[in-house]
Amino acid sequence: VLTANLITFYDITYNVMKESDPTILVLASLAAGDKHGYAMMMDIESFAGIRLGPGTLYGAITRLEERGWIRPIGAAGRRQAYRLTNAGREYLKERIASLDQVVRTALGRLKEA
Amino acid sequence: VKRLLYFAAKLYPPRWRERYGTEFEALLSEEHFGLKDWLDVWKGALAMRLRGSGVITAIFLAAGTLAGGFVSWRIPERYSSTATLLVQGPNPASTAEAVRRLVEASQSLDSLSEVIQGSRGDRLLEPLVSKLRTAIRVDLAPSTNANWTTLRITFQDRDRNEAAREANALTERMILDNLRWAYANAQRGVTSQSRLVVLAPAAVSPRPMHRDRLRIIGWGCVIGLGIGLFLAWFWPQLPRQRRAS
Repeated sequence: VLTANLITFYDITYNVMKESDPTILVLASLAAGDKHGYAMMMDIESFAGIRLGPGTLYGAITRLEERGWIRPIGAAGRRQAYRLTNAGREYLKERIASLDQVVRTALGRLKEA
Repeated sequence: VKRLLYFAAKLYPPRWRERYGTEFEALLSEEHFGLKDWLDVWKGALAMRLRGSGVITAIFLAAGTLAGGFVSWRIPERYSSTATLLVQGPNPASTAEAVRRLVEASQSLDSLSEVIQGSRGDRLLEPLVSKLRTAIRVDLAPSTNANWTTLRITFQDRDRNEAAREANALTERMILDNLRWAYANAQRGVTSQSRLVVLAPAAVSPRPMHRDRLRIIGWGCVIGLGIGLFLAWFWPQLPRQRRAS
């Protein structure tokens, strides 16, 4: 029982830690439409209440572009807009499903307690 | 802050700046970012520089640890032996004076020479004296009563018996010094004397000390990590051909 609880605890912690990755926030922001860096910052702040710093945001953008989950589209002046790719959309769906599972498990346990 | 932000943005690797530099600077010009954002840009620059060169850092960290381990393995083992004494005087001032006198006397060249002669026969040489001076440590334990103070004399030596012998020889020397001083005072008519009691004579140390070894290995780690981080920082700046070669 103890081992099973430890595994569940690890599983939940791991998933929650994974979801706090700013890449998920960027993907979620781009799911609503194409945006450039500053627009993403503002959008994430409005829907998640998290203000990503410029270094964190561009770290996430770099990783996402390397993985092929977002791609740059036409630049407007010095600003560069990004679009969510199909692979990125699939990944985001997977992560949201996983997060949903975590939230439902946690809520169920809170009710039991 | 704006200038600091632009400066921090220049710390990103050249290849990253080629790709994202213009839009990143455009983002930085959008808003009045604060000090927290400046730190965030620094953090981002460091992360980008270390990306892909973590292996270099890990290699140097491992090399530093191994070098530290090798050096510490080559260092001969040292044994530590401690004697504990108690100095008690008629009042706090005379106790403090007695402690000062005993500590000074114990660390004098005369005293150390005598200790070495006593334990090592005729092998008295100047380098040995200076070596012993580094091996001896006299600690003043915190006093709970104003009229007494405990002294701890610690000797370190490669030979476990020597360490105890030297600590005890110095203890004897201190007792003699205290007696001489008491005698001189008695001659002058001073009756209240400070007392020196051996609470615990120095015993043969059962195990060698490992503290220095751990410190050496720790320094090896730190130096290796420092070199690794330094190289990782400049690694993205090297031209590709040179890196490949």
